[in-house]
Amino acid sequence: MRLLLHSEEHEGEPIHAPGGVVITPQARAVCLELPGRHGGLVWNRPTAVKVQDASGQESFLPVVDVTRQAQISILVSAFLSTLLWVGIIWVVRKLVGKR
Amino acid sequence: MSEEEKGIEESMDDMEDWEIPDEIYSEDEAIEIVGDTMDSFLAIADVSCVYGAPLEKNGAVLIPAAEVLAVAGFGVGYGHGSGSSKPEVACCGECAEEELVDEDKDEDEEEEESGAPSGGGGGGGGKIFARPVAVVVVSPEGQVSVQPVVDPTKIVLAALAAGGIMVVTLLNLFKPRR
Repeated sequence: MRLLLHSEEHEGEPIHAPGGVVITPQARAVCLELPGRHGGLVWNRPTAVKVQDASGQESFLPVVDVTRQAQISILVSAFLSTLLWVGIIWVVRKLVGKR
Repeated sequence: MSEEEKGIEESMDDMEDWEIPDEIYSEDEAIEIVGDTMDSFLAIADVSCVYGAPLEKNGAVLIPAAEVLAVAGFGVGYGHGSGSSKPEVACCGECAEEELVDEDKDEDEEEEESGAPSGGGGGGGGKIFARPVAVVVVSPEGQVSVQPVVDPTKIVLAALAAGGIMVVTLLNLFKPRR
């Protein structure tokens, strides 16, 4: 069964804001198509905005998903601290067993 | 309804405009419908689904940004058998002769009734999840900043789940061995 997975980067229409600022939104979509076009998954998320100021200078502002980052950091820290505790208990039990 | 939800809803109009025909007569037609649905589904990958329409308030411009996850699945089946649709009846020779005469009489009718029986069906389902991620703010002076949208409920739920798993694992370790 062949799965068609691809990632696409899209740029939206430029938005003219006050102060001569032009903002271009950017997004990345991850698409998973099932063979035979019988369905799939599309995960689309904002990545950054391209900002062009009145002088024509361009800069990129990343769009950070704080909620996702917090969730991942909580889960990773919980996993690591559990591993640490398991290691400590294992070492203590080894030392006590030797005595 | 928030602006980003409105934006997503507008982008889904194409899917809403699409109508399922009352009757589908061939497999090709069914596959074509599935293909059209899939194309509409893949349109969610567009940047307009992620960024909402700019809002102006007190001279500042706000552009909402959201994460969109869409999942869908479709299935179509079509098949046909072989032989006559009329049930075959075993009978004596005389009856068979009579039947032959009848067949000659109703040849046209018979052609219409005979033929391979066929049938088909299809189905599908899907779900779209959308979650606000950030708001791009342009001040009246032209200063641009990206303000994150924090969902405390999701963070607390993640903390509770992680804490629960941690406590259960450690309690199992401290259990006296039998």
